[in-house]
Amino acid sequence: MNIVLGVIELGGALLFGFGVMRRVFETTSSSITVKALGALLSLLIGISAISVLFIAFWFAGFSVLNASWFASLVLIVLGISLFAASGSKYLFPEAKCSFVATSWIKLLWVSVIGVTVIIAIILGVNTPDGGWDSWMIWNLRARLIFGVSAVVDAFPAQIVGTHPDYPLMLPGINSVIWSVLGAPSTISPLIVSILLGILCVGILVGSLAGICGWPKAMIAGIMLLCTPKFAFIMTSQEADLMVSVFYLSATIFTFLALEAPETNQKILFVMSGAILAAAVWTKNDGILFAMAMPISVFIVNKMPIKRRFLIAKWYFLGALPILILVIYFKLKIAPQNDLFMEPLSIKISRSMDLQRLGMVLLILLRRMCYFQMWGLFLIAAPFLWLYFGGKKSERSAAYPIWFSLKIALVGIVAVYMLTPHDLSWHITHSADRLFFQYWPTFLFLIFLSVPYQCDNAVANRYDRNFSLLRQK
Amino acid sequence: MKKNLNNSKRVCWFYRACVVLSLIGLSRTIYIHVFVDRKQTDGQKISTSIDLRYESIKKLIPPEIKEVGYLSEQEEILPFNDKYYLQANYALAPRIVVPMNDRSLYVLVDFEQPISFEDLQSKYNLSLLSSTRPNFGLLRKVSK
Repeated sequence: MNIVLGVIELGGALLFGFGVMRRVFETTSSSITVKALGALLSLLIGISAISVLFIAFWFAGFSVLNASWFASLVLIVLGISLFAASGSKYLFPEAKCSFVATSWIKLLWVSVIGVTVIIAIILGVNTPDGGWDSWMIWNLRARLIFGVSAVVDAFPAQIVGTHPDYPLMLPGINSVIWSVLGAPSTISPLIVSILLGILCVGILVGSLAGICGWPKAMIAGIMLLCTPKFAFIMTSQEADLMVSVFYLSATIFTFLALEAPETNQKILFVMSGAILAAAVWTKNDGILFAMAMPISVFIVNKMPIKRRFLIAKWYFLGALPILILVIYFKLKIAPQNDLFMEPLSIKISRSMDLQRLGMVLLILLRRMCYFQMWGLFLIAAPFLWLYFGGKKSERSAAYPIWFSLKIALVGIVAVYMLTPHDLSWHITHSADRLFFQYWPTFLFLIFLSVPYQCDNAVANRYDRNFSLLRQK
Repeated sequence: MKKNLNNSKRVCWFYRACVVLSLIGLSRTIYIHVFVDRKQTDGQKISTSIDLRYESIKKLIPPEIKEVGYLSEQEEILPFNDKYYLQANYALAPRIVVPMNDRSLYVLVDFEQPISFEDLQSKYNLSLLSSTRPNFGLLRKVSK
């Protein structure tokens, strides 16, 4: 075990992550909530950045060990520069409300966390290699990256069904950790996956607590933790959890940017663009939301057209460094994706087939009602969306993001229309994970759009009727 | 004020619905992962590490061997129809495991039913290196 490299890697990732967030948020001295949110986002940015840089160096011909060293050192230099730099920061729009949750909500919250931890331990012990996709795709790729001498050998076309065209964010993170350990391990991908689960819940709760106050945030957190199979997804080590964390983080930055004064918008949109590109580098599915979000912000916006183009440029600038890596990988290294293997004429005829569209919608509806995966959440979701989501509420900045979810939903249907695989098999095996990618973002938007008043009379009524809230 | 109180009522109902949905979801999670999973396996361990299954044969393959042949009852390996073929690739990485061919110096044999290793050795000109179960083993091509 290379402890020095481990310290340098951790130091580089944290220094860069905290350096970036230091340039983004200005927090008031008393705000522990916003500081905690900043720390969680810093961690996400740090581990993503080290994975991206590691793969870039590895593509450039460095060995795994050297690529880890150089990635860490570059991040340390960048982190120090970010700490040294000065500039205008964004003052986080904290909730002015001082309500706190009652003790039974806190008790529920603690119980839910306890149950999730117990279930995660049971699943982690029973399936140490994670779910099917994790060992077959993500961890196999990480083992190949770690073990081969030439880049091209890590993407063998001979192993059928292992998707060598899938992006490398998660295999990159695991390879970086293994370079410290000196050998592949089954424990470290599990720890990374659990960390991503913690980031997912933490960022959702932290952002809502910061923007709307703790009661809403705690109930949103309970809903996420109680989503059937959340613990399973957390321990299955698949990339969808990481994609969902990126979608949520990009949504938070876009929302904050749309609420921010014009002078602070640039850094927030750049951050959102970078995080959306990180989602693309995690899974091919990320392309959908990475396109949907900037498009919807461009369309659903009352700003002058010149400003809209400026925002689009900021998104693009943020995404550019990672997009270069994605494009290089897709053009030079990865084999063709199965979605693009067939001739265009077949794709056109498929996309025009109304009977096929009916089948896609029907199977998707069935998956939404699938109690094993979703309980009653996805049956309730459309009603919640119709009730809270479609309105230009007091948080009108959420409206373009709601629209981006609509675009993404249409995109998902379009992808299934074009799939060369058996329709029922493809949707059954992927729809739940696709829905899950958007689930934390959906919860964030729902809770953001719920009417909200910081009024003592309202607080008292809450207390009498529901015992949910209590004035501090 | 009236509008605020209406809003508070709506929010109360919304929170109640969220908590009920969450409790249903949590109950489902506990039921499946604590009771159903255990029942299905009669209280035994559901699965063990994939690496453990291949540990003994992995040591016998020299590091310079980059490709290992694979033999099972599947005549053609298609995506997802042979879980153990994919698991072999995961466990033996960075070596790749491909259906047995003329170049295969080492051959991993993994059948569902017990097989006769003697028949396989004579049919394909192989010698048995290791066999941990009657349907699973590593063989090496015999040089002529």
